[in-house]
Amino acid sequence: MSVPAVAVLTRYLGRYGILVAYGLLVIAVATQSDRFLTKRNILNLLDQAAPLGLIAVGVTLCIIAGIFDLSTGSVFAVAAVAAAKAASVDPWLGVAVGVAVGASLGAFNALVMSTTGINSFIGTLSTSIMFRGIALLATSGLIVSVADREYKTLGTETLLDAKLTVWVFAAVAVILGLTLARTTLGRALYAIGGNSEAARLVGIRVGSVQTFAYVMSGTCAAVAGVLTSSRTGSAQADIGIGLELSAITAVVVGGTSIFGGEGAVWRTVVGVMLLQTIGNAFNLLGVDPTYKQVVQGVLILAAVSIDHLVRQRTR
Amino acid sequence: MDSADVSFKLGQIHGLVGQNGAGKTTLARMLCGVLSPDSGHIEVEGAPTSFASPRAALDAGVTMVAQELSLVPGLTVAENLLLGQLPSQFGVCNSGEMLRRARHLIEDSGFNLDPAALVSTLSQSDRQKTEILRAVARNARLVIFDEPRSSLSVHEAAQVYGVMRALAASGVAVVLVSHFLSEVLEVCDVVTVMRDGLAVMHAPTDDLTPRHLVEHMVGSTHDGLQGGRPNPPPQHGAPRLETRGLTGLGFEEISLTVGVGEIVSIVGLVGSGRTEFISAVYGAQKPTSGTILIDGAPERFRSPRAAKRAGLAYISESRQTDGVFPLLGADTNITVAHMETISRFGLLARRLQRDRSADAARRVDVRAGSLSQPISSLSGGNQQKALLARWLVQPPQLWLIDEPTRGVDVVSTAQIHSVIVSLAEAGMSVLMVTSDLDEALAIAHRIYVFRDGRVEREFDAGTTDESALLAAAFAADASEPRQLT
Repeated sequence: MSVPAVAVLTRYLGRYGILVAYGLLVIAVATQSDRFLTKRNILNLLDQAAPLGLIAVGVTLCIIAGIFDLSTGSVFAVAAVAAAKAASVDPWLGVAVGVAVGASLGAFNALVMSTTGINSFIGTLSTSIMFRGIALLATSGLIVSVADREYKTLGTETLLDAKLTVWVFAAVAVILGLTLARTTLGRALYAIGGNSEAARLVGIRVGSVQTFAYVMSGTCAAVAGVLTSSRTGSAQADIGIGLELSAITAVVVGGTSIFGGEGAVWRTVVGVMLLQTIGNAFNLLGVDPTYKQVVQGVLILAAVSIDHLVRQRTR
Repeated sequence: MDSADVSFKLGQIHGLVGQNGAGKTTLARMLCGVLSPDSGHIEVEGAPTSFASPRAALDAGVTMVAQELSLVPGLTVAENLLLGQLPSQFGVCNSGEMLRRARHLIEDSGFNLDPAALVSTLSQSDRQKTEILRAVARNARLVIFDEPRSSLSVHEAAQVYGVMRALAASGVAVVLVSHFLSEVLEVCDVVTVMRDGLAVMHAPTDDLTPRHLVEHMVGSTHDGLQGGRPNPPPQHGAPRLETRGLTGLGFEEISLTVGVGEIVSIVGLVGSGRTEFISAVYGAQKPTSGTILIDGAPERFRSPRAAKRAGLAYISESRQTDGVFPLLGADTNITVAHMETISRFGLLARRLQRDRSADAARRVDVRAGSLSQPISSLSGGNQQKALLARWLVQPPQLWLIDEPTRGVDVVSTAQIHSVIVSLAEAGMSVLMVTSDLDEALAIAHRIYVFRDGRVEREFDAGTTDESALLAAAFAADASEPRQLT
């Protein structure tokens, strides 16, 4: 191979290192289990990935803009509870209320950070505790079950063999992916994450753009919460604990910089699939579940290290 | 860097000059073990060595005062000075002994520094002094100063040169990398000029002039360096910018005007309030009282965005901290202030971005392999030109430029000057802050000298000279700071 060809190859490897890591994982699991690459298993995998995927895609906007949203797990719960309660009146009212609650909580986050000027990490950590408390108050710690049959079919309905949840995840990922890559708003998110003072000095409305990121993150978490409550036909205050960290893990595993300013939605989708595939492989291969967390941690570390090393090499 | 044969003698001060990208910093980094050479070797006192790490270079007695400061902000000056060699017993730090040693170091240098102060509370110039003393504290045999005076005033620079002389007198080899050619000639015993990664000239400084150095830096006699003086501005109508008694953090009662088609420069020492003033005009900081008039109409900008909409552009003094977006491409960096010109209904049009950025880049001669490469991979001069290009996408009426050519090589400086002159000739107005008096004298029509947050005096650039400006900047003791020796 000629020298330029090698250079081009390594550059692509650098850019798409996480895809290579994921490909290797898929091959490894496929050689060990016949059931892995079946249509049924893949559809199941996608369905399981959808709630986390929705949250992680929303969080991607925040991370790229240089802010953290640690409240998504709680927003997920509040939206699920609100939607389940409203669904007893009308199923579509349930959906609307759930999503509106998520967007409002996102806007509340933005308002808190912009008025107090505190760091988003500690700020959203605090609001997440608050939101969780609201869910607890609203349910008195009990399970809210949904009687409405139409509402319950939302999460289980299929279209072209895939659950509606998967389609919603795909649609949101495409829309937010295009927003980041192809719009002035997306460009502003990268600029703020890369150098927020420079962004302010060139006339970008830093506060408004960050508000957009918080609201999208809250909305995505709410959509995930609504779909989950619809699937199980119930909601309670303690669902989704720890989802906010899994979401950030997926974002970073995909190769989006934790420091902001670079990354992409497709990376997050790969990150989510990587995490889910590891879990799926455990079930298929019948590994003793007590090993699961250790191996999961090691595999995440391996994937991130490969990506990091390859990128450093090509810089 | 290509190939450089340079030797540094103990007890000598050795100047290293060249344009940005000539390889000075690369050479310095190799000497410090930060980078390793592809071929060739480094000899210390005749013995070939290779430094595997910065630690190895430190052990061999090589240390550098870097351009980007590397202090720990949460520690005190004394702790930073002695970091890595803190006096301790059984792992417990002996703070009394540490303060005593730090005070000793500071007194020897003649600097005015409090050893117990936290570095995070220090001004930029005090941090630089701390960085310099840290190199001294390491008892190195070769100390490299990379642009040590970039944030120091003339007086402080003189102190730094004093420290360098003291080091050399005590038998240390000192290397000075600097853009301030006349100071290099004054301070150094010998000088090496680098060009395109090669050491192209090596000579004692005795009978050299800055002109000689520039000739070797650019490879031929370069007459375009002076740039054209701008035509006198038209003298009619309301001034483009007028401030009346503008007061804010760091400046008081500033009243000045910038006419249509006029280039006005503000000069003054670091800390004279010039940077604070110009960023307050742009709405980046809030003035407490006073009035800003644009074309005769009072304006109070609540944000930079509002100022931009009123036809102002601003380029800050610190390219890295609040100028460029290092991770984004040069093309994005150029178009980011005017994204509405490269989009329709919020959707970016890549072809428009490519055309507009290429167009603006061409006007200021931004040199890049491809404009889509990250701007951080460009040289300092090209990054600075890209910042000018950013505002050329949709030229404003009034340019506010803080340090248009700091850390920029000679050729790019000349290009930037001619761009600024052409802006004025096209009827735009320019208010620029500069530490380089030659720059102010070369391209400005009028010059305001700031001192202690106030306008000390106003000069007509055509009828004044460097010493008059310095005299105003220093007020009474005008003759002293010029005395660098």
